[in-house]
Amino acid sequence: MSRSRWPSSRLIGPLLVLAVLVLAGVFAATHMVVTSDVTHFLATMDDPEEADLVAGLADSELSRTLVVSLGVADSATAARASEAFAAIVRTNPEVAWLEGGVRPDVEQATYELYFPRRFMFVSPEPARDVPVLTSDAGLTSAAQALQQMFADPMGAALKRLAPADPLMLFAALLKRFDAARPGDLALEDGRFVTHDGTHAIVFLGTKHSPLDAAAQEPLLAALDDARAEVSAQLGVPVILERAGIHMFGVQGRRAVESDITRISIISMSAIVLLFLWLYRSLRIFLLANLPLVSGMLVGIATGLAVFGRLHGLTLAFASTLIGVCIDYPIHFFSVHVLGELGRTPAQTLAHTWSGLWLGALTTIVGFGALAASGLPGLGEVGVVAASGVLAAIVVTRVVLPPLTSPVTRALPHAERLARRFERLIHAAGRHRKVLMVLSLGAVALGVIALPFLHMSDDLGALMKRDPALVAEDNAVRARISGVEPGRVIVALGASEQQALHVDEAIAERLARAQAAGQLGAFRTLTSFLWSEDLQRQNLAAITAARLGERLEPAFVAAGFRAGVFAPLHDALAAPPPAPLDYHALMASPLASIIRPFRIEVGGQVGFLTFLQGVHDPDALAAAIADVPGARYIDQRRFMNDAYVSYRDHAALAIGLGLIAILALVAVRYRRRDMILMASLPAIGGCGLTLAILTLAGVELDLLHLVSLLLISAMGVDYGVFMAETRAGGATGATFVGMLFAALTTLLGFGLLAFSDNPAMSSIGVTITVGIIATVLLAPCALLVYPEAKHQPERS
Amino acid sequence: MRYALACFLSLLTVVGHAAEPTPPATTLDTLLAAFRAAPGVEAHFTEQKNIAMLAAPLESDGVIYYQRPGVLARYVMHPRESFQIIDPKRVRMGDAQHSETLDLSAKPQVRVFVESFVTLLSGDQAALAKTYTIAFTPAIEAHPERWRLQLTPKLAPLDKVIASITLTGSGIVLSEMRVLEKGGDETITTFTSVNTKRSFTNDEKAKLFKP
Repeated sequence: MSRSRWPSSRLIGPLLVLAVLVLAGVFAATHMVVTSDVTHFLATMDDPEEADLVAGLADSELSRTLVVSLGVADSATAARASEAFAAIVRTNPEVAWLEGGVRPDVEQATYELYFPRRFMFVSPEPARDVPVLTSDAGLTSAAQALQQMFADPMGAALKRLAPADPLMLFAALLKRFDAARPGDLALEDGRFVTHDGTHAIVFLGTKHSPLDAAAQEPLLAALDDARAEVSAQLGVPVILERAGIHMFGVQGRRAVESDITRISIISMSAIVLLFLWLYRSLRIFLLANLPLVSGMLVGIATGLAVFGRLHGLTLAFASTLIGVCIDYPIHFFSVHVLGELGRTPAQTLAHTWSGLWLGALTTIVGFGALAASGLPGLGEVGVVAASGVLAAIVVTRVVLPPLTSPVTRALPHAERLARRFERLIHAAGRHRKVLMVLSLGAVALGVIALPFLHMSDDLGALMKRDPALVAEDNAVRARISGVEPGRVIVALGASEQQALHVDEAIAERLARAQAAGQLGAFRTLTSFLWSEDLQRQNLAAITAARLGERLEPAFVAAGFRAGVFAPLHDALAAPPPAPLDYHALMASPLASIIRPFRIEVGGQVGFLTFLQGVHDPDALAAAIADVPGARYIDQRRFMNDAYVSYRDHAALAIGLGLIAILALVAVRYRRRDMILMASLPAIGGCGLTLAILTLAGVELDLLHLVSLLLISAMGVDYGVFMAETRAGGATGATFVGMLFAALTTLLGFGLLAFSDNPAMSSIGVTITVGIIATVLLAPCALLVYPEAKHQPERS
Repeated sequence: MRYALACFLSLLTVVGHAAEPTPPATTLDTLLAAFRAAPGVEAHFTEQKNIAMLAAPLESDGVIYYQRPGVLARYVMHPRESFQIIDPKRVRMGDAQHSETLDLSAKPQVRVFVESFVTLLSGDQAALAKTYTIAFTPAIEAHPERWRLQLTPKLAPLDKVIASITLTGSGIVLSEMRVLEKGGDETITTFTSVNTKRSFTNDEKAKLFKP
């Protein structure tokens, strides 16, 4: 062997490569940062600001809010259950905040914050409204209204404030706050309950993203435990229901993990058995996986080095694409073990290397096209996959031969199989014209199918939501009569004050839209906070009205005693308080009411307006179109638009990748027959796959396209391997290896077709159909051009 | 608002029995026991508010309607028409031009009065005593045939606004209610034409209690 032919000095190369792999592994392990923000993955250059906005929303307090409903028999029990539940859950490390009712100090805080500033919150249009309010007629009208309030049994509570606030400005503020309360909930002992009293409602915010299943799964389990504890404490049944994105993230992860575990066990067992059956060697099985593992390690390390972090989808897509690397060791080992006794690994490498490197190079070029696409997510996939393939072929070239023994025993079963394949291929060669028609027919079918392809525009189709969870989510949302999830208007500004100006303009437009019937209702921060400019304008308008001189005569004429409004005069004469700002509100007991309105987007401040009953989204978007910094966001529509745009860009990148692969093959062989022989399995395989999927009525999504790229990469490998080894008399061995590689791919990815998860199923179905098609077409290509010689010009 | 509700509730509970036959000896127990029997009430009222900020008292009159188990409608006829309809969950109020609804559940401090009302109707003296100090005088010295029930709030925030609510009557007939506020303002309400066996048709319920 080899000891003489592979002296220890020759192990330096493999050792160096292994050292690099270890370093890559250490780097990947210590620098691994995985994101799950799908908006950044899908972001194209079409509208990066909108992508940022949607990403900001996805990471906002709003999306991190989980609504918990506790079903009991009556409102008193609901309040007790809410209190007990909150006491347990509040201490959970994942819970950032929790609100199950109105804090007892909110009323006092409201008075302390707003009563001294009542002259600053008179009207959103002070120049128009304050002169009317403080005109002689307006003051007379206000005096009559105050008297009516005194006579009114419900108004007596505000009577004590009348000497300092005869215009009832603070009462008007309270009415505005009441209208802006979240949801339609009642209170029982200060706790939120539904109006029928049968459900307590608790809002809580999570520290991590709602899609961070690792963080949310323990929290959801803790909620279940808390329910059981509350039920035991109160001695009554308590039904827990939830609304929020959190459950869907956890459910998605559970479903995918379950599928992957089940499929992995089956496929790995089958692959091990296949290896043992064909090669009769566990060592070869382990060695064959070395390029694959190396590819993943180097790919991830390269991705992390280039981008600083990787998206979860990048890892999924790239690991799928790197699966092509199993072709290289299998081709090497198949040709090796079926070679003559005494053949050394070096001889096998010499025999197979031209096919191996060309196969790998075409794949790297194809995946590299993704890297050059300019698409953020697919670019990551391309870099990771291309660098992974490069690492895999280097490991195949440098590491496998020194660790492989020369052929010392025959494998009769494999040789018989190879001979049978050779005979089969020979026999099939008599029907060249039929094979030619079949091969070209596959390509033609793909071309014919192209116009009939139906691409899915719904990103949601890639995710399967548990109907029971959807029903639970809808039921809880119906109880709180909340805003429509996913539809908001964002007021953007470089500062809070600037964003508040935009928010004020939006509120004015929405009030008009509401009056015009385009909108049912809306919740806006401007119910609680105005810009400092607007507050100062109000104060200036009140000051200009000279109420200190004019109010008392008007009120005395209407029946009030003179001198009773001294507190008003004192307030007007005193230095005004500083305008109210966002931070003062956040530092008060009102923080929980204010918090959901704010997001930060790309260094800008955004204030959200929540919409309810959007009857005409386009009209609504048009209503705010002339407000600089105002953006109407329909998350679902945006995500679908982004997805469609991304998918189209990705299709183009993948198409360019295929063209690059074929161009490389053309440069390599420079002969039409050889070029076709090498590329027919890829082209025909993809064409046939498209045709079959179209005939089956499958709507193609992004994952189908990525899978097609894998098929084309493998198809080119098969074509090149066949072309390169044909005249060497190893056609049977090559075909055995090709079939074996196809089988392992089918077992590794094809079984995903049985997954309940639509995304995984897309990958599985496409790869199953595509790999079968390429395997069938590879010998066809060989037979169509029997005279083609395998010795092309070396490039 | 608290003050007003307290007036209403106290008013209702006593007015509801104004036309009942006079029992042999009126005690707090017999009053509370009688409260449970009233199916509904209709009564005319006149009200005088002596408010320090105003040069002259505010006067009004109208009709109240009470429907078991706890909905009170107050229709003011003069000097300006208006209405208030109070149930344990909310208050609807307005006039011919506009109306609005206040959610009592969002105002827990007000809601205590509604619960007091329910407590009174249920005749639960112990529960009533949690909110008020109760002083019942079966025979007023100057008018031995009349009784007086004085309720003095003892819990915040009610005790910060109301000094006392004093109800006087004969048998179980209420003739007057005085609500004295901490600041000195006082509301005096007198009742006439009381029907404590008033029942309402569906049309009347729709018209009077859900305008």
